[in-house]
Parts: sequence; C-alpha cells; structure tokens
Amino acid sequence: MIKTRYALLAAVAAAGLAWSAAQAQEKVVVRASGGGTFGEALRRICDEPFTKETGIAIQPANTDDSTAQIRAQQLTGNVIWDISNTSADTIFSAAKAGWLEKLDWSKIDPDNKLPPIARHPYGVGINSYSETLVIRTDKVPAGKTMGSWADFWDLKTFPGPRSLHDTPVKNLEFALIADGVAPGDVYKELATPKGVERALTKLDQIRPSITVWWTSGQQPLQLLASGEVYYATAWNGRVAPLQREKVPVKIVWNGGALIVGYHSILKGAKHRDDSYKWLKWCWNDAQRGAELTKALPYPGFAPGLMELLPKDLQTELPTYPDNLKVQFEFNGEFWADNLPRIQKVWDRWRLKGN
Amino acid sequence: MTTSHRGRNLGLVIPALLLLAIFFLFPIGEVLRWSVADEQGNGFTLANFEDTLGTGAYIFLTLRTLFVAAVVSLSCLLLGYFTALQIYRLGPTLRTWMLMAIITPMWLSVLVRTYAWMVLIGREGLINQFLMHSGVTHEPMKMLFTRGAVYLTMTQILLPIVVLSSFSAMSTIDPTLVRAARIMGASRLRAFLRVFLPLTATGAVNGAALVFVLCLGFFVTPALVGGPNDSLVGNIITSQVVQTLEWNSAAVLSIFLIGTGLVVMMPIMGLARFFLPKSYEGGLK
Repeated sequence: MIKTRYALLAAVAAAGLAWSAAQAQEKVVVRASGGGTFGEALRRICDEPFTKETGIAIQPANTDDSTAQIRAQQLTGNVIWDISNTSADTIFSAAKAGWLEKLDWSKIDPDNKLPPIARHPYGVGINSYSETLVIRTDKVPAGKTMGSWADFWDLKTFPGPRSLHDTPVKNLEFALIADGVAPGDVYKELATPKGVERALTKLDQIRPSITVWWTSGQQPLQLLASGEVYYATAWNGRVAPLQREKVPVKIVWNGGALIVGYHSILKGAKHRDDSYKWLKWCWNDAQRGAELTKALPYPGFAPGLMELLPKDLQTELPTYPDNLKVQFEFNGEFWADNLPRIQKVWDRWRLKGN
Repeated sequence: MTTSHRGRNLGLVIPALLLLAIFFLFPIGEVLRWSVADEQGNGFTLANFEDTLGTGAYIFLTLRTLFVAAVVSLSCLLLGYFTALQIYRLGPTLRTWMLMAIITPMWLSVLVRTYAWMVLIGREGLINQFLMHSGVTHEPMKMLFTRGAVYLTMTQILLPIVVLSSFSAMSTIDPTLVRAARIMGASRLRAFLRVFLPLTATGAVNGAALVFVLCLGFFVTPALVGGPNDSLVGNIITSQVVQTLEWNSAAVLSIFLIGTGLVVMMPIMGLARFFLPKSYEGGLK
C-alpha cells in the first residue's frame, strides 16, 4: 500500500521533471496579449507562420489588464512573460517603475521605417483605437444630428439614457471639450485641481441621464444594441460587427480619443532575443499588419499598411485621415502621473450618487 | 479510538492543511502585509489605513456592501427555506428532479446568469415588451440598473446554497418527532414551529451565512445590473488592483471588509448557535 503510494508520487515527480526539461529545451516566447478575436488573429497571422519560419514557439497568455500582473512578476522576481501588451498609460508607469526593457530599435526597425508614434522607448506601437461617441441613429430626434461632445451634453435637444466608462480617464477630457476647452489644451487644464473640478461640474450636468457606468469594453455596445441607452462612449472596433447585425449605430469621430497600444519586453525576460525577432516579424510588416486590421479594425503602424486595405475598411479606421484630424491624441503619460490623485477625487464624486 | 488510529486520521488531514496554508493563509498574510507596507510592499506603516479610511467614502461603500449582503442573505434565507420545505414534502422521484432543477443553474457561470436577467428585465427586455404589448403599461418600467435588480439577481444566483443546506438539514431529522408532536395534540402549525423549524433552522442559517460571505465579494453582478449608485466595495478593490495599482489601499479595504463582515456575522452566528438546537440532537434542549 505504502509502496504503491510512493511509486505514484515518484511517477508524478518524474513526469513533472520531464515536462519542465522539455519546456527548457524548446525555443519559446511567452507573449501576453488581449484574448478573443485579437488573440485568435495574432495566432493565425503572426504566431503560426513565425514558428514555421524560425522554430520558435509562441506561448500566448491572455490578459486585458496586464499592469497588475507585470508588477506581480517583477516584485516576486519570477518573470514568466517575455512580451506583454502595455496600454497607453500602463507603459509610462511601468517604464518609470523599471519593469520594462528599454528597446533596442536596431533589432525591430533597423531601417527606421516606423513612424515616431509607434517608437516608444519601452514599447513598439501595435495598434491604435479610438474611444469615442457611438450613437443609436434611430433614437436621435428627427431632423437633428449628434456630432460632438457638446451635443452629448445637450439633454434638451437629445434626451435619453446614456452610458460612460466608469473611470475618470477620458471622461474628464470629453467633459472639458464639451465645456469649450480646445482638444489641444485639455491636459494643461486637467493638470490643475481646478481643471478636474471643472470637468466634474460639467459631468454633473448630465449625471441624471447616465443610466449605467460601463466597466468592460463589450458592455456599451450591448447596451446600445438592447436599446438600454441611446448614446455611449465605446471602442471603435466593436461597432462594425454591430452594424453588420443591422443595429443602427454610428461612430462620431469628432472629439474621440486616439489611443495607442504597445507590446513591451519585460525586464528580466528569459527569451529576450527571440522576443525581438517576433516583435519585428509581427509589427514591422505591412502585409501582416493589414491582415490583422482586417480581423479587427485597430490598425498598426507598419508603413504601407493602409494602402493594402480596401477603401471601405480604411474609412472605418481611427487613423484614416478624415477621422484622425478630428480626434485628439490620448496622453498616457499624464494619466500615469496623475491617475491615483484624480481617481480619489473621482471615487468621491461617484459616491455622491446621481 | 486508539492512538494509532488518531495518528492516521491526523495524517489524512495534512494535505488539506497544507492546501489551506499555501492557498489561504499565505495569500491572506500577503494582503495583511500590503495593508501596512509602503508602495513597494516593504516596511511598516499605518498611513494606508489613515489615507484609505480617513475620507469616509470607502467606509460608506463598505457599509453599503454589508447592507446589500444582509438583504440578499435574508431573502435567500426566507425563499430558500420554504423552497426546501416544499421539496422535502414531495415524493422521492419528483424530489430528485426538483433538486436537479435547483442545482443545474449553478453549473452556469455567474456572468451568464447575470446577462440572462439583463435580457429579461431590460428597458426593451422580455418583461417590458410583454407588459407594453398587452397594454398593461405604456412606458417601459425601469427595472434594470436599479438596486432592486441587484437584490433580485444576487438572490437568484445564491439561492441554491440555502435551499441545499436547508434541505440537507430537513432530510437528516427524525420525521417521527413531528408525528409524535401531532399525536400529543399539537396543531400542524405548532408542530412545525416548535419541532420542525428549530431542528432545521441551523442548516438554513448556515446557508445564509455562506451567502452573506459570498455577497461581500460580489462585484461583476452589481456592476452589470446595478445603477450608478450600486457599485460595491469589490468593484473599487478590483479597479485598485488592476488599474490604479494602489495595492496598499486595496489591501486596507479587503481587511476592513473582512473585519466588518466578521463583526456583523459573529454575534448573529453566536446567537443562532445558542438558541437553536443542534440538528443531530433530534429534539429541543
């Protein structure tokens, strides 16, 4: 009885050892990124051809909020991921905390082809998206068009339930723009406590019409589709699938926040050189970038990517010239520095109730 | 029981103890440490408690969480006990089917069940559509994104726990006791109140206590079906952990929540223990 038990233990231990040995031998890069459609597209368009070409396997780890996990890995000294997605604000705080590798651009972009916006010292820009106003066209009063944040704030002309993201990030910007601040001056204004107050006072005006504060990216679209709200902020990439389902929704690009997402290499990553190879392979190649954009309309920055796309897709993209010029560039560094301070004010404001 | 027997029994407990130590005590210890550490997780300071609890906003949020948990566990207690009672009185075949019907929804994820409620009680949801088409109402009733929706959804999600714990208490008592009470001249209601209810209440109360504890950690459901003023302390803790990276503050809130939860629970459980007979005693004290 006891003997069998030990034999079983030994077998389990041996299997464990064999497994970890196999892991050590195989060439592998552990890459954390968003799952779902994006993760699936990455696997098909970047990972599989890459493994075929180089023999380096890509082990995906799905995550939406990578910051907390990067921090945990750095604090415990157990760095599991090699590459991680870093959002526009994460990348600044993570870089300041020393959790990211300063990139050697000669390994990703030797010919210096990528635009400056994609060349962050600590991350390669992988895609761009817009958080902006999305409206139910059938709920807009006849003869009126909703085309700006000032309209979103205009409860008299456009009554009806609304939804915003449950965070100060971007909402305060939108509120200031609605209050007449030029998009270029928004962050200057927000840097002062008075500016934050001004934005919150502006938000007070529409507060009774905010039926729900959304917390995950799919929620505002679901709310719009079910008619729960008429107008909401949302991420542009999720609108087209809804339109294909014949839900009358439309993106208002005017005043939207253009946000860049990055892939970074973690400090202490175990497979650094192979990670560089993959970053170059996936993000500095127009063809693969175009394929990824077809799967999810969050375009990357590889030069020549836009030209490879059909015209009707181009106009749906946040970086299409006509759309680009009416948006403002989201300032991740501002939020990396100020979020904890502003979040406290925001939490108190939210708790005051509608 | 001989000593060698006892030794072997202790040995059987060791794996469970190890599991608890690694996956419960250690993480709880980490949370405690973060609540008194600096931003890097080192040193010792009480400033986090001052900063987080000093503003009062989070205390209010914790109280709201405790209140919601209390309402949900009370409604689960009442609904669950009487559901279990009806199931207990059914024949064996029907009883099995009913229990299956109670348990199967638990296989679905909380998220799916929450979304199902959203489809039902939404502004253009099934209930409102039915009411408006049949002419009962002309304007959609506001049900989704209210506190009531939070109570309703959480109660429905957690109800099976009280049903099962009440049912198991009912099925272990000796049914002849109630019959004896009736033979001695007690009315049906009196026999129920004096014999059956006291013997089975402990099971229901234990189930409700479990519901209360689970409620404290809920955050997905209130975020999805609740209104702007229904977020619970769990929502703030998650956003502090994954978004603003204020782990000290998140740890303080977690400790505060566990602490206040215990303060509320302990006296109630103590009273229940004191006044209710143990179900295995089979009779009143």
